[in-house]
Amino acid sequence: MHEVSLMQNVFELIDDYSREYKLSKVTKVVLRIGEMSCVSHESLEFAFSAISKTTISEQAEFIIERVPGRSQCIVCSHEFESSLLTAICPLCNKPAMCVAGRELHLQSIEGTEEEN
Amino acid sequence: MEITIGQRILDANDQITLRNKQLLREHGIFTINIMGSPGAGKTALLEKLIDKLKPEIKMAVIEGDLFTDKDAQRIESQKIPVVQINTKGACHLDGQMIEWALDRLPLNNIELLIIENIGNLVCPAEFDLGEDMRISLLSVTEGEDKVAKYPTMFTGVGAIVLNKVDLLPYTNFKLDDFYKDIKFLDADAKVFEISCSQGSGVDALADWLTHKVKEIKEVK
Repeated sequence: MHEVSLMQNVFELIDDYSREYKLSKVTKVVLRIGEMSCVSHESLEFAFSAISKTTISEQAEFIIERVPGRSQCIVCSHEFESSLLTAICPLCNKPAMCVAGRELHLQSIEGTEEEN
Repeated sequence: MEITIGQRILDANDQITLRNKQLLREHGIFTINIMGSPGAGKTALLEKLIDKLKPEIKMAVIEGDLFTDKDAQRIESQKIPVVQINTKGACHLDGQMIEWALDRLPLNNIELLIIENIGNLVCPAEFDLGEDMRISLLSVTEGEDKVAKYPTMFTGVGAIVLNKVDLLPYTNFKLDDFYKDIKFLDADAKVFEISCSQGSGVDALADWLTHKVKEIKEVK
């Protein structure tokens, strides 16, 4: 439900970086989204197309890289793939905590520079 | 040209939250973020807690709602400082909204600040507001399965409060399963069974909070 406000934050970052690198047009935007971050990819795509209108990112390709959930055992430190916030270690049967899968990152952008 | 960024999307929120946290720390204010579904009894719990704690502790409240100041009016009638945030549709409170609210509170005269988050079991869990502790409120009528279904809301919290326990005989709420899921998700969380309408269990929670507030004052 908060995908639109997340995307507004993404556009603030895009604005900052495109000013810093003097981009006249953004051609690609890549996000890294953890599978346990409670964010809908479809809603993000919708928010991107809605907010990018009339901006320099309007034509940009929008890519979401999925980060699978991983947990680490608090006792034996064994790491394994898991889509649960608190999982059980398959080796020693003790609780394991989520160590990956809650990412909400702006990974990279691509664009063309202003002509002088 | 490709620019590698690798920055958290909520970085701006994190920065503001850090400032809020420092401000609250400087004033020795213990801050609680109360989360739960609409109708779980967040405001009712606040009213009960204010009754119990007001004589001993200087309190203030930040009320988050989509629209209206109905909750703030309820709190204001108890004569403590309250600021209402209307998110006009946003499903959670964020650092910027808290910054705005803190600017409107008498920080020098507050020991315990309670933030009532937007009624929602999903989004508020993702936004750190600079609180010292989160409290998740669940009511019996919602069903014990909500703990397992919305784990982010019940992980990393200081306390889980089960409200409306007077209705247990009239529902199929499975108390054993509730405790089993909580133990699995968040073994460190304190659990309080209360009934705001009957007033039961609120004393234990109030005593525990008083202890927490005193702890932070001693640290200061």
